[in-house]
Amino acid sequence: MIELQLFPALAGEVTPIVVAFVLGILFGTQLQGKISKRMIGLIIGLSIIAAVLFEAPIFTWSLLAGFISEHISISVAFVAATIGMFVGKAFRGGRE
Amino acid sequence: MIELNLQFLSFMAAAVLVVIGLGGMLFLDNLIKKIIAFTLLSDGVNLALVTLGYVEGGIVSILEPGTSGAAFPTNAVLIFGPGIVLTNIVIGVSTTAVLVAVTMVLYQRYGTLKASKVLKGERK
Amino acid sequence: MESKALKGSRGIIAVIALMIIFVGVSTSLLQLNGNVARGISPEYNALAPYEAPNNLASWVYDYRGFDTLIETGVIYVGALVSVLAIGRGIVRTKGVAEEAPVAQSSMDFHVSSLNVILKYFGIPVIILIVAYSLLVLTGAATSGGGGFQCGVIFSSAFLLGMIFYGKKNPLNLSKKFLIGIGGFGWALYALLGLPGYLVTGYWQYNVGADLWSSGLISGVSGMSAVVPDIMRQIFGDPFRILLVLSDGTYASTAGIVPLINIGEAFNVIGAIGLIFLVFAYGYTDEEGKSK
Repeated sequence: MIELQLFPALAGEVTPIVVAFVLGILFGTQLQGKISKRMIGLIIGLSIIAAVLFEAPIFTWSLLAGFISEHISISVAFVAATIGMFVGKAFRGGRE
Repeated sequence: MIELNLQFLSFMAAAVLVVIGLGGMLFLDNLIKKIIAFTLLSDGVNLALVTLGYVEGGIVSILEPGTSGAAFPTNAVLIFGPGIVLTNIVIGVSTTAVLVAVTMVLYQRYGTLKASKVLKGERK
Repeated sequence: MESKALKGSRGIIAVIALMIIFVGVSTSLLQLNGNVARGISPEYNALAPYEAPNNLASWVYDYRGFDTLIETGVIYVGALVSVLAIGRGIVRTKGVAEEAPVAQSSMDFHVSSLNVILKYFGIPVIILIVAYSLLVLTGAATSGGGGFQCGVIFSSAFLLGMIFYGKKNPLNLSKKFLIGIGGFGWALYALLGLPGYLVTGYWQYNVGADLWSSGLISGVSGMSAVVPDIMRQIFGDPFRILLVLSDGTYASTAGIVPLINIGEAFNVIGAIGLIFLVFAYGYTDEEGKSK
């Protein structure tokens, strides 16, 4: 087993997170209506819980990609997509 | 004597689905029911295709930590069937959408969903 | 045939015919029971440790990627035909409009009857479903998932918003956006074949993974070092991961497969979203309002 490491061994573990964030921004621009700050906090909290449940993709070995130990890992791409959607909504300014 | 394994049962289920779908498409009068029967027929074909890839005691065709790369080709299920099915599902979706759209047009035109009345051309 | 006609002798004949068909189908299928030739599949399974761990992604987008490209167009054709049949297409303008069709009642959903809890529940669920679809998309090469699945999950979020909120859908995808994203997706998929064509002469050749010319496969030596290193690094290295298996460690890369997956997902989102939109509201609705 590969030991825990902070930085990715190879780029394939980080690229999905970046892709999820960028696509989240793209689809976030299509959101409309108002979302309060409490709701944003709630959704990000829920997404972190969900990310723990989903776990990191197999064959990720770095902390940056969410690998903590063999049984506990976080799917960072999911959280990145959620945050990206709010970034995209703020970018577009919440069109009516 | 045929062995009662998973592949046998899957093939039988696929045959049952195909025959139910075929019977529904032939003998039911309602157009929506015909479409549902069509999806059942499609599911039966998909199940038969997936079952073709069955390997006795096989593993899923995704590499996981702990599997052996050298023994993977002989252990993993045959990849051909699921690959075709993935396409077949998409084609089934688009076909169903077209069928439903045409059914909506027929309903607007004839005011009925009965295939027998649509064929006779009875206007509402 | 009406349902009454199935009673009596006709019904018996129908049942007998179906039973004969069942016997024929089941016996022909059971010929295959335990008797399937392995064919080409083990060869592709053997390549899996050098490419994507999800072997199905490699199979669909690499080994028969050109085939999948054409089949991807089928779903867009389905969306197009739905638009033509329901919306302002040839059918309604020429056939029905003059002959007093059955009045089409407003197909907007009854938003006011929804519970207030459901309305508050909707926005988080829609955002989380969209995030989940992006997770499925990005995990396409490493685990179960892919472009088709991402598109379907995303469209389910769109449909959920449509049912919960009607026209005030938080995920407000316009027709322009859907058509644009679908066309962009298909163009992305098709154009990703260009580097492979320029270098090797094969459209959709996986220049990133480059299994056939890199010496990974024994017995294939005709194409040695066709793909330049720079192109291999551009397409391969961003998706390179370390496969730690029980009998060794493989530095594998999926090459252009994850990028193709993105194009595929865009295409499916465009097509299925357009189908949902057209079935719910019709095509001409918005345009009439803007005029």
